[in-house]
Amino acid sequence: MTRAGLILAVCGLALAVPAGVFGEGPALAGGWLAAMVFCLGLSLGALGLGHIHALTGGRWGERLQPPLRALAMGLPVALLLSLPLVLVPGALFPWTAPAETLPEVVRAKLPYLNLPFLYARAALCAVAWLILALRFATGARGGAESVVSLIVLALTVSVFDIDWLMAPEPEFYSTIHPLIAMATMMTGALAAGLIALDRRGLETERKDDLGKLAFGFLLLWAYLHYMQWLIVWSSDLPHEIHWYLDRARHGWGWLLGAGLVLNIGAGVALAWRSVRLRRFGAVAALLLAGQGADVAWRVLPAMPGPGWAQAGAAALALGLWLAALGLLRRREARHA
Amino acid sequence: MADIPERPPVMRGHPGTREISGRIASIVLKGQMPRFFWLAFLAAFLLVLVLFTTVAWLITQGVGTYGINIPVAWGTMLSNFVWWVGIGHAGTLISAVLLLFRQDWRASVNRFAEAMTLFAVAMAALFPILHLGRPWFFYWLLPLPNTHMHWPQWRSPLVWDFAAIATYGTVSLLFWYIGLVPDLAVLRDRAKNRAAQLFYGILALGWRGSAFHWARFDAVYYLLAVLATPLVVSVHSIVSLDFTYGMAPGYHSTIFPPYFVAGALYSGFAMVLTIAIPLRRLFRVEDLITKRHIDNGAKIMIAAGLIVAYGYAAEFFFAWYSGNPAERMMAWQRLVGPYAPFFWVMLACNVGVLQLLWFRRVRLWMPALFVISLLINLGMWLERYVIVVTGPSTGFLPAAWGTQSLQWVDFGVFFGTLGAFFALMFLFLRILPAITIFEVGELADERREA
Repeated sequence: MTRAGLILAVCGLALAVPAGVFGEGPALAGGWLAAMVFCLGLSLGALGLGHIHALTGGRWGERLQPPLRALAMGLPVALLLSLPLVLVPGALFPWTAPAETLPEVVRAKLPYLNLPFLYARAALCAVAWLILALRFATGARGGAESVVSLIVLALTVSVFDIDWLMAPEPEFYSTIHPLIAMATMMTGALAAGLIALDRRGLETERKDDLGKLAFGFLLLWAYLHYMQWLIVWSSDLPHEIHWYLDRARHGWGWLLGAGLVLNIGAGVALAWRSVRLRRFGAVAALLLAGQGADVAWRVLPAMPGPGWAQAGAAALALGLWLAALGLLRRREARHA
Repeated sequence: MADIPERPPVMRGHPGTREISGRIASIVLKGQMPRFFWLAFLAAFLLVLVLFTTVAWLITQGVGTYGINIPVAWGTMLSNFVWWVGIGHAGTLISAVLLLFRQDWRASVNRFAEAMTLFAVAMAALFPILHLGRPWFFYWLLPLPNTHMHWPQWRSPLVWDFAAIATYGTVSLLFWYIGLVPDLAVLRDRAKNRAAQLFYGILALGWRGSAFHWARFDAVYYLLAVLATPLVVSVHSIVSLDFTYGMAPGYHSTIFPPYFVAGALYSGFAMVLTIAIPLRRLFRVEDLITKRHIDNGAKIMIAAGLIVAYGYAAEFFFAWYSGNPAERMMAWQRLVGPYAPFFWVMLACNVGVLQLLWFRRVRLWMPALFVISLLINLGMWLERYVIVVTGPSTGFLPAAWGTQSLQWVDFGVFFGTLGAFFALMFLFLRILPAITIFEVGELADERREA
């Protein structure tokens, strides 16, 4: 994992350096944000899944807990990754421009959309997540602690989604948006957990159950996405429909297509019993890739281009995260 | 309330299959219902008469009789519709979703929950038809050949509603009936008089309980559960689209589909508990519908209620975050406007009272839980009413603001359908087994083997 991460980081660096030299700094910030959202999402999704299992019980989660804990332990690394973004708010948030240059509807939101308040909210979320991750490291306890953890996660992830995924397009708002983020996080974390479990070996019955569960999460994610699209399409309001138009134009349609192919492919494979049992790891990897493509599609089109510079920064951040996670795992294994 | 076991069992004692069949079947076959049962049925039947009278008045005098006018053209017919559809969802969740999740505790409560679904959907289907103004043209919503010189607007969720409710009703009826067949055979075999033998015998479709029959039964029942599960989500999502497609402030919100589904489960489970708590006492089946069922139902209400509370918070935050003065004003009017009393009572019931369910003692104290479930039913009705009327009443043009006030027709139709619903439930309890005999028997066998 460490080596793969370092190779990815070096590839990303090879693209990011020329981008920086040729003045494409804002594009780097966008790519970095997408990678940070994805990595952080996996840790937060793992926390959510772990606490849901602690509350509901069931055999599906017993084998899943160790990989979920490992993912949750990556949370501090993902938070460290977010620090460079704090230095370049102007590249991410158009509302940092002088107020008089902003549209009236954005000016009306400035009591919420301002940097000191944004950083205070980010710090509060980070502290809450660190506490949750540290407690989760010793195992989800269930009962009141899991209930409180899930409530805190739902609220903080909503704030995070509004601040870092919605605020880059300040005229747009969608009340279902934070729920889509939660669904992506948990589907992605489950897929990553299944990949880890497959490498350790898993009995057929568990594969069957976990495959169905992953299919359920994928359906939930698809349902939330579809509902947002249907409502926005039907109403055709300028401040909403542009969110989709921007994600279908300027080459982003390819990313949308890739995401659809990956997620539908994963869905078909998960629904097909023989495929989900025989190619368990590959199907989970397909699902994880699909969820990654979805994060990229939601984040990148709102950011300034070009795409290759964004891809470079995303690869660099993702590679560093993977390498750090590999190092953490190795250290843990040595201590064990 | 002296001692509460850490986790109450799904079934108390170790009754045998014959004993269970005998006890449940005798409720129906002996027909010795307590006096309270018939008094309650009479009260429900009187309300059915109120329903007939009010509907006759509504049809002859027009839809203006229930207080709607421009700008508030949607009133209680819509809120009643949403409320009743929501009630039905808990039945499908218990019968289909919990079956797929292999939750054994559903066995004792799924039958009457499914009946609740059917009757609630039947009540719900009345309201859009009454709301049409000219209900005799309701068939225009069907995809009829255009020789009729009309063609429904297929992009309208109001038309989708028709298909959604019809599908939901059909699948729920099939699922309920297929699940009843083995129990109808038990009643046929245990019946002493010829009429009952014929009645239950025809309905039992020649069920002999052979291995072949059970294999076919399991395949069909599982398949219907798979078909019914997405309906829990799709039906109420389509209902929510009736609002989100509208441009009125407070209507156009993308969170509505999942928020409506959660609200449906919330009110549906409140109704399940409203029925289950007196039912287990009335027919002395506390050992079959145990405190475990009640506790689990209350826990699902906590989960659904928290999602609903999240939805309220999201609605208010995004009304402000939209930066749109009309959205902000609508949210403010909900707090202080003419419908504010409804809003605050709704909040007290759906969010305030819900907090009591965190306490295990409250969840397992039947009188308290019964009152809480009634209050949540009330709160969820108010929620739908507040959503329906506040949006159009405080639209984009302040000069065109207006209100809808509740009239006697609103109350007559609503309480009339409540009466019809409970009258149907009472009839169901009288002629069909309210607890699934074969599933509870299987559960008892498994427990004995364990």
